[in-house]
Amino acid sequence: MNAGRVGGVLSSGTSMSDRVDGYPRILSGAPEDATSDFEARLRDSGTLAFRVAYGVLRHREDAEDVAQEAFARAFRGFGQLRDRERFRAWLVRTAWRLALDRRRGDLRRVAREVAVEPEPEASTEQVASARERATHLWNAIDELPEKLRVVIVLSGIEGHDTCEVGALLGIPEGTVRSRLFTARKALAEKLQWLTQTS
Amino acid sequence: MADTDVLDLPDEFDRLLRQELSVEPSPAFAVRVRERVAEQHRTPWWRARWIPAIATAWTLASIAIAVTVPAIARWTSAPVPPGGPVVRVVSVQHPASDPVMSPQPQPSASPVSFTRRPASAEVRGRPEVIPEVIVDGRQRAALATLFRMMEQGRVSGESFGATVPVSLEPIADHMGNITVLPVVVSAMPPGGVLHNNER
Repeated sequence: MNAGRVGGVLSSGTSMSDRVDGYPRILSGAPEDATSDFEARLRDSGTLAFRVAYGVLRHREDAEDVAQEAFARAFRGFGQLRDRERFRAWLVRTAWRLALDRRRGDLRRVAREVAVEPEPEASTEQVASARERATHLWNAIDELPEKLRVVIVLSGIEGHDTCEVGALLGIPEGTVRSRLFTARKALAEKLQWLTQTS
Repeated sequence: MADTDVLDLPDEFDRLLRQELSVEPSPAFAVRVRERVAEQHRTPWWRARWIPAIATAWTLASIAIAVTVPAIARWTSAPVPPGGPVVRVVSVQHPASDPVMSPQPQPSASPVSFTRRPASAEVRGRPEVIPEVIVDGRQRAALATLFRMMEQGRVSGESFGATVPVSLEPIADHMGNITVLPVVVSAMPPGGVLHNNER
């Protein structure tokens, strides 16, 4: 990915001499190195941030918007986030928090604009399609406490193991295992009826 | 997913979750990130830096105007007697049994008072202490008449000054020396002393 291709887009407001490959020269350290580092982080963690946001929002455009905002914030503090693992952990937590905020705002707006009608109870006679099963799965995940939800979502992304999830969340691996066990057990109980019908 | 074998969530939901989370961002995602980064840096530094200062100065100016304008309005609308005394005159009611005051007409309920033009210190919110002179009903009536005549122009400052008595303390002038006899203190007789000095 060539950052210089979008240099024209970024040229308003500051002169090109103040930019390196289209980025404003606000990164600490050598600008060229910082820019190339940030580009590397963007390539490396862009999909991860997007998926984390998608795991909360389940809406592509909103998830992209949240991930972009997370990267924009990361750019501001990139001087302290040059380390790859530290950057990924910071990015995941920021994307998760921004997505939660976005979702809360959306829920409040929806609650104001339209009366929320309760979803009809799925009867045991219903045969759920794959889409419906996914919807039920997400609904069950949404009902989990936040600390369990983030573990189950991160472990479902790119096959992260408990060690990687612990590194991303900054918690011990044993805690991740415990939370993952609790989350999966709760999900199994919530989705038991769906398993029996299939 | 790790630890699947020890948990009871069916594999189909594991696969389903992984499938749901295997979404890819759009190809323009990285470009939009760069645009977002540039956009947040687009605000000129001087605007971002001076906005709080301008807001603070504007707030302080508003507060100063809000405090100063009413003070000036009070200053300009206050009644200013021409060359009047710089004292606040307060009338007092004598008791009805006072033989001196009883034949005099009763003064009106409202005391005669006025406020002199405030000094600059008062305008700035530091009120000066105005000395008060307590007068009785006759003096109050006389002062009210004097002020009315001064307002009507019948008495000028010069003519008023000419009527000021030579001595401002007539009571002290006409009071002689007061002699106090020595007090003899003796021992109390046995059995005490009655109220009228009888044993």
